[in-house]
Amino acid sequence: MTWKRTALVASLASAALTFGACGFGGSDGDTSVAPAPKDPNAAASGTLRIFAYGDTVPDEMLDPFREANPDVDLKIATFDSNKSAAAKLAGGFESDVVEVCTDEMEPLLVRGLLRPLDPEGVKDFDKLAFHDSPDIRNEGGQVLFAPASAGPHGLIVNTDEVTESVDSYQALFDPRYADNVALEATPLTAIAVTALAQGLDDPMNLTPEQVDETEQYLLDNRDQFRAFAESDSSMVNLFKSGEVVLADGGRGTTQAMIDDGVPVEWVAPKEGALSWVCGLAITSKAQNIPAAYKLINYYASPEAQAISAKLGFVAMNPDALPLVPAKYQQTADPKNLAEAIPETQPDDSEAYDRAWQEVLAE
Amino acid sequence: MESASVPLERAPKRGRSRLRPFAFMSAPTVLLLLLFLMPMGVMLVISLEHGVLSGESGFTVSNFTDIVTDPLYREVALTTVIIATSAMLIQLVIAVPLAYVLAFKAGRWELPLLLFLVLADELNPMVRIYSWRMLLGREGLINSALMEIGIVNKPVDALLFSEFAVIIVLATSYLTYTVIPIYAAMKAIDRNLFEAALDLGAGWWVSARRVLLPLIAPGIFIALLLVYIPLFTDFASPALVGGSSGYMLGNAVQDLVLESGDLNAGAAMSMLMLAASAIFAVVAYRLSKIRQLES
Amino acid sequence: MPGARPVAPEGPRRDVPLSYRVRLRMPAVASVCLTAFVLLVLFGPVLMLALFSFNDSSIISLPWEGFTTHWYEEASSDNQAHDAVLNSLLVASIVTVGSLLLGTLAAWGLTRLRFPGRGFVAGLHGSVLVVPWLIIGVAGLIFFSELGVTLSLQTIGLMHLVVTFPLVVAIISAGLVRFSRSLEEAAIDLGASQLQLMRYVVLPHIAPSLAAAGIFAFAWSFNNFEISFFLGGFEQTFPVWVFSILRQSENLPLVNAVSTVIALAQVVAVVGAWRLMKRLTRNRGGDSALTELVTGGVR
Repeated sequence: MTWKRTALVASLASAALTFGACGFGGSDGDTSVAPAPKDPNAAASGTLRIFAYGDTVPDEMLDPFREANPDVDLKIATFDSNKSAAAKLAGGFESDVVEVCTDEMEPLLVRGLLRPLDPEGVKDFDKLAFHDSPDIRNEGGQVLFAPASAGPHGLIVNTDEVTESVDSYQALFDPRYADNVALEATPLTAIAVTALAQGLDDPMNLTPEQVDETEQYLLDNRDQFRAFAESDSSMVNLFKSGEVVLADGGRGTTQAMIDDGVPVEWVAPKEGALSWVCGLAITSKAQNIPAAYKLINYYASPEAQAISAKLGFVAMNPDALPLVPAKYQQTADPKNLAEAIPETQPDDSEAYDRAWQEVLAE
Repeated sequence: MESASVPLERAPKRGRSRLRPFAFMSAPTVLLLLLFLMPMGVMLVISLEHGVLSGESGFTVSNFTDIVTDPLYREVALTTVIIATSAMLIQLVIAVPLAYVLAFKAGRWELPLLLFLVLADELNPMVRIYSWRMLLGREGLINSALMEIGIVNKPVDALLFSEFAVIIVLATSYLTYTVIPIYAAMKAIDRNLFEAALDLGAGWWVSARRVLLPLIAPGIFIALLLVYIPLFTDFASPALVGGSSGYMLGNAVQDLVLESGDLNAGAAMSMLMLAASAIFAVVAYRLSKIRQLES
Repeated sequence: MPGARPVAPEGPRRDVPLSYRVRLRMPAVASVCLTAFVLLVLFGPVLMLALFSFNDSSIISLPWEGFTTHWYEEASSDNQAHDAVLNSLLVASIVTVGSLLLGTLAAWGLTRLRFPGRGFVAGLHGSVLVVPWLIIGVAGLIFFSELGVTLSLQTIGLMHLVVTFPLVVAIISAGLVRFSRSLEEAAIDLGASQLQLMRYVVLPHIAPSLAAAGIFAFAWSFNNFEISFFLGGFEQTFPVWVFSILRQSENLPLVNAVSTVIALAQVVAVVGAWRLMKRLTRNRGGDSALTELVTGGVR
């Protein structure tokens, strides 16, 4: 080894160690409550950075906001899954506003990446569905996000092929439909749905023994499942091409199939439908808080919620219902969520992830 | 990328020529050092730290030991080896003759065919995999054809959402990258060598094995290097066509790296995969070198 | 100089058994069959999807619901799609040029020159190709954040370059390794400088490899997801856009329509490149001269 090479390796090593020792995704953000603007009607300006699901920020949703706030320059980055969003944020990506969901907030909280909101700064906050749910708050009871969209998760049934009426998650495990059933490939919903099928309560907080029990049940009944759907598109494709006749899933997915002539219906099982809840939160490194509040207010408003309803989501603001076209009235009604079990991150989410991995690997 | 048979210039001890290697190599090497080696170094350090979520801090090897002693990963790794190797073998069986055709027999079609081959891989993989579903599914084209002809009475379920489907899809993915290096290696072969062997009475198969294959060994090596690892770490194909048998190491890595945003375990897994890939590369290299010696 | 190939006898000869004549023809038939099969397997999916982009259904699946250009209309009015495609085009173009330059330099250096640490550098190049992009993406993200560099198209482009040019090195090395030295040495003896050597002797020989490597580099950069996602800021590239909207199932045909347009554009580009190459070598004598040039350097 020449001296040159030794020097090279040594300098690399020390550089790497320096970086590593600094820790990554440094937690020098501000985690106090983000102050709401004193005058809610004052115009906002400057750059606003948003990091959200792709279908939360389409132009039809944001164009009214742009018109109402011409001085705000929107910068949008999207993600396709909570996990990749969390990884990117943990890796150091910065944004002003980030879309969070109740079932994947923990990693962001632990790293101090979110700032609580002041609910007074959000008009109509008390009208929004789930506004008093502990799941949108941190341990200190502070509100982390204003619910902007939610979707009930139940059963999708092909009514031509499944002639009996279905009202329970147990149908997923009915041997008559063996090799014709699909599950959404998310650990939380898969385990929760199976737990409910087995008659367990509180699927979001299963004990380790219960998780094992559920995992074993899934493994024993693996032949039921033709495929696990990675996305809505995948699920819709499975039903249309006749690969499956029964699955768990959301209303929006079902609607897409119905629009395309597949004879399906969505059923809220008697054990209780699940519901994901997402909304916009302010990050601890946000630089434009007034504009952030403007955006959050916009998403909570009846106008925006009506647009959201047309995209297939439930309207979180009941004042939006009159603005929603007849076709979407039923799916947009927040009463759909009244009995739903919100999907939250279990204390022991690693056990859920692990159990699901073992089911897949078999 | 070494070759025993091409004599290399030794860098002269003085004069302008001494700088020549640096002129060529400085830009690429610096880029790699800065943007590849250093991030990897950072990754290495992170893999040796406790995760933020575990509540502890400081250095540890637990990230590594947890993975290595885990029966889940061993099982998944085994399945992955079987699937990836099968797909790779199919690819080689198709690629070597195809490269031969392209290099020696295509004549004026050579360039356009080559370019079209390269073009074939351009399509977004997610969308392409859906087309395989249309082909292999219960109501898909192949099953419909089989039933029309009368070979089977009901659709063959195992065509889709099985390990078979994953192997087929993988065998056609990255095929371009298997063919091209082998083709490039063949282009540089003196065609007369091969024909001389044929003229001297050696059968086609023997000539191919003893003359052609050793000469294209570096090409095969590069093809393996380029393609086996992506096959091994692919996650889209198993997820979309593997059904309930669709869980390969790529999926496991993704889950680990993206899991709860805890990058430490994911970094450890990445380091392990890097080590495994390096071992694979060395093995492949030795194998291809040995073949060269045989000729 | 190309050696003269023994020409097959004209017309059927009675004294040669049929089996021999069949065996004589076999290679040609087999070649055509093999090529056709491979092209079918590789392009079949593309063509099928292009077909279904006109299907009046929001689900990509049989049965056929009717012809429509609705998805293309939607695609042409979607701003996010436009921006994403343009961004990807920009990044991919720059990355391609960069990788060809760096890749050729490195391939030449690694296969022709000896210098201390050569094995290490070669290993470094190789190792880039074996690390999964997901890992490189995440590592790059952490690295840039540590340095306080804002993520943008530039950071994406840089990392694309890093993962792509070793591929170019690999392809060109495979060809250079077997390149006969006698022509090179003759040129040097005649007084050619390194630059002239490269331009008149080596480059024509590796021209097809360069073309293929260039198109590869472009494809890798254009279609790259993992690195673009983790290293991207607020400007999306095409694959990131695709992944982010595929969550909603009715977007699949839209993505399909856009993908088809892109595939078509790439076909046009490739055909254009081919014609350009033909034109560039036309003054050296036409079609056969092109392949001559390529194979000729080998002697």
